[in-house]
Amino acid sequence: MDINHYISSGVLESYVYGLLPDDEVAEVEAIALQYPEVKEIVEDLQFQKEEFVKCYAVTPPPEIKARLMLIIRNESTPEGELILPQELRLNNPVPQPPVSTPVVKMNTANRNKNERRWKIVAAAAIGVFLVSVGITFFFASDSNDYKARYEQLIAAQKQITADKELESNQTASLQESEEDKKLIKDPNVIWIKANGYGAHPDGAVTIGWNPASKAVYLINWRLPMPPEGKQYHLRTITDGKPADAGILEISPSSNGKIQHLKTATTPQTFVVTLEPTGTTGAPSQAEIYQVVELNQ
Amino acid sequence: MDSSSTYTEQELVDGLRSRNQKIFSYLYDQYSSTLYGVVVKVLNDRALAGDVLQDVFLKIWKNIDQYDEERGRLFTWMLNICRNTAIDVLRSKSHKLDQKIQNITDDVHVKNEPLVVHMQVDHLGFSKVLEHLSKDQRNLIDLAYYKGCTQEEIARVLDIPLGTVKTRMRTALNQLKQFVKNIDK
Repeated sequence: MDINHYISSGVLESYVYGLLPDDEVAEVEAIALQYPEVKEIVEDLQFQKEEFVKCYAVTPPPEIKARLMLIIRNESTPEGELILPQELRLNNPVPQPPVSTPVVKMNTANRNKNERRWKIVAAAAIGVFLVSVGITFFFASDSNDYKARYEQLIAAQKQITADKELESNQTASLQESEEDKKLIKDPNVIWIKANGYGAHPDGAVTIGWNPASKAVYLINWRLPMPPEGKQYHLRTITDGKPADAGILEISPSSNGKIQHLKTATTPQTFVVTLEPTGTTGAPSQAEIYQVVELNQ
Repeated sequence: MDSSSTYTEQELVDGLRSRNQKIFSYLYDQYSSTLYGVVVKVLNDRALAGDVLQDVFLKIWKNIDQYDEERGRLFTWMLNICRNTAIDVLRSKSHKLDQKIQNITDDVHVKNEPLVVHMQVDHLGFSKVLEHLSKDQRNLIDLAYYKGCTQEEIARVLDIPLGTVKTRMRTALNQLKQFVKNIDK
């Protein structure tokens, strides 16, 4: 055989790129075993092809790996086998009824008895066969929806993760409220419910002040949501001079929770005002909502 | 094998054979994007490609005992499983040559636009090389490898004599090889 002619015919390239019919594939593989130079060229071409296909690499969606790992983790269980595509089930997923084929001792002396035993064996075999046919049909129809099963499993897994997150969030807010409780019970903090003012007669917040640490706290109970472009400020007034004590957070989740504001050294009065967003210095267009007098 | 791998080829094979899930996970991380790229290019259908990729990795996991080191590297084996599975799905999807050709012409449009859409950065060098091939040469490789066309089908689609399909394949790949050599230098 003229091996150089064979090599230059392009048959090896065609082999590596899947262009050859089965009979020619077998031929190339046989020749590669026989001629090391052919084998080397084939390996080079394979390597080159692998570089070529890497050019088109696309990252697959992450759920595919999650699904695969789930299948593999459960593969030794009947459920795990069931979610595999049919042709990949190596083990029969169904625990077969124990095949109780009786061991029949050859007994030439009692031929009739022997025949009867064989009849029992045959009946048992037919019975086992029928049961396994039934089971096969049952699971064949069942396996058709294995994709739906994956999705159910994945959905269940997501739900569990989501539940865990929710749980940890709740734990966090519980811890928060534990701290709130401590502060409310703290004998150093003076807690006073605010009074309404002017057009807003209802008390809507509670203000706390710690004369030792000078810390200022506020709990909003029912201040209305500020209109767009406006926000609530807490201001302290000492000897007629107002000072900024911070901006209030108004949201359903913050209602009833303690907000930490700016410290105040000798406040005499606290006021909650509604002011245009971005007000920093002295309140010029403030609308007073709440007032607390500290009568120390 | 990438030089950055922390496992040797033998360790990967042994790990798969001993049903080591960590090794499987590593194998997936290393090769899934290349294999997914093949499936996507064969099928032109990302939703379907996901299912096929999953089947490919399950086949690798389940059939590792059929892998024979004597006959080639692990990745070569994996890539064969991948390409053949995808081609089988493509064939079951469209028996008609017309549909296959339709897919190819769609591909050609995509490729005439920026070729590098799906390319990974570390392979930009190689993809530049691909641009040196003529459109017919690229189509020849795509039809054979990614669409599983026979020589007869290729001869008809590209309108070339049947007897020249193999030699043209050789010319195209030789050219590719030369350009790669130049890059490596």
